[in-house]
Amino acid sequence: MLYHTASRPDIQFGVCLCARFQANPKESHFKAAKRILKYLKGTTNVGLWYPCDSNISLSGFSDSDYVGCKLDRKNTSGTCHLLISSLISWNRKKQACVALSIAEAEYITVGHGCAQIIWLKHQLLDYGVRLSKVPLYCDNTSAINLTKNPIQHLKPSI
Amino acid sequence: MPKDWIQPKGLSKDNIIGDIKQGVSTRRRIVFCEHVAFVFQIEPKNVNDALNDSNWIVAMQDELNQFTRNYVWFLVPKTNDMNIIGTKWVFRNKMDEDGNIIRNKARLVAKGYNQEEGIDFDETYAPVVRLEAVRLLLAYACMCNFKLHQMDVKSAFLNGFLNEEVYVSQPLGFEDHLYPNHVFKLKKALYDLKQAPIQWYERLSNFLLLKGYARGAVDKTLFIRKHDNDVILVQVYVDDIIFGSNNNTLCEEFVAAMQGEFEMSLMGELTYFLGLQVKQLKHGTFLNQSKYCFDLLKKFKMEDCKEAATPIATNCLMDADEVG
Repeated sequence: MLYHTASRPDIQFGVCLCARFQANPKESHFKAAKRILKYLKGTTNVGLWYPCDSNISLSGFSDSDYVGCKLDRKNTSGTCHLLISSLISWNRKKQACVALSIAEAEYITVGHGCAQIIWLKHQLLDYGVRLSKVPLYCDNTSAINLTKNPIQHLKPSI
Repeated sequence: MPKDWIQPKGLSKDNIIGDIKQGVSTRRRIVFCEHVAFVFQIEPKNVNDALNDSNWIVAMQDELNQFTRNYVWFLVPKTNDMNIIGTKWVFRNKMDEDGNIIRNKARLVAKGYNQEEGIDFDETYAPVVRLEAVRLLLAYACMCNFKLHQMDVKSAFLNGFLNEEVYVSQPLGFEDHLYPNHVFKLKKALYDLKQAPIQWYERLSNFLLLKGYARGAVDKTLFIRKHDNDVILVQVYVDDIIFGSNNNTLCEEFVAAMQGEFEMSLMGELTYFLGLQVKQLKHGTFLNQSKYCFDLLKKFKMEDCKEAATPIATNCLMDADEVG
């Protein structure tokens, strides 16, 4: 099922959430997995659409939840990248460390997104496309301010 | 039997091939039936079963002929200090999209798990493409308005040259009558040898680099060649290759070069790659996995389940569920 996310970002969250419990699966997880399959049944023909367009631009979006996992209080971050209007890369990941605030969680997510953008930029450079500035959108003002003015790194929770 | 059927003189009913009740059959149908008659339906479990059936023997012979054509190996006398790797036959029926068996395929593989590191192999790693890179290429091709094509290298791993000395035993059922105690020394890689993927990648990349292609800076499976304003992009996924260019002559050159060097098959516009169904239309490219999705539902016997509107419940956060 994990491979199905190759063209289906919509089920990515659910699939990855279920995958976390693979080591110790219980009935509730089974139900969740079945629900994903049911959802797939109704949406078999959905896919990604890459429209034609001539001017190339890349943009990234990032978001994070706060304490998405009740067990270890870690957050889940999600990023996605669009080449004009076609979605080419997305990613969701439970963060490796415990963030103390939403701003910190978002900041970590932006970091993930940034790494991916750098990779994409290099790849496009190979194709012969040079992009100078790539906007990365984030929905948290404190996190944005933190990137502009990296003071008090240890205490982003104020 | 039809009532109005009159038995001709001198023709016994036993001599009629096929079912006369079926009525007239069109030519296409007959061709299909004939074809099915030549492929064996069941995959044999071991080589002895396979040797009892002529279709599988043909398939095995085909595979061995391919070895000879590619100069994969030659016979050498056996000595005691050789680490000889066993070989094994793998039998598969190839099916088309509707699930009809179209081909019996026999593949001779080496028992790679008997290899010893340092003696039989050094490196086993081979780079594969990231899915993001495939999507990026698709999106980019779409924006620059060029079509992507795909091709497939036949028995790709048999093309990789070996740096190490590797000996394999003669395949079961096809031993040489003159030298039954000899073993094969491999010149090129065999399937399931640990170093087969990297040797193939090396061979392909060396070939492309020689032809003036440049390797991608971050993605080692991307090869680019620039020619004035034209550029050709080649993305390699083991033996599947997708390529596209804004100049058709570059594409043709690439195809010709590849055909000259390797045995190729399955040329054409990109439609199916790594389970992704790709439709390249005039105004854009559509990407989906409906076939994979159906297979998935079939595997879990959920073809007839009720549909859910959302993939996951919005109100529940999952936990370890200790009681459940």
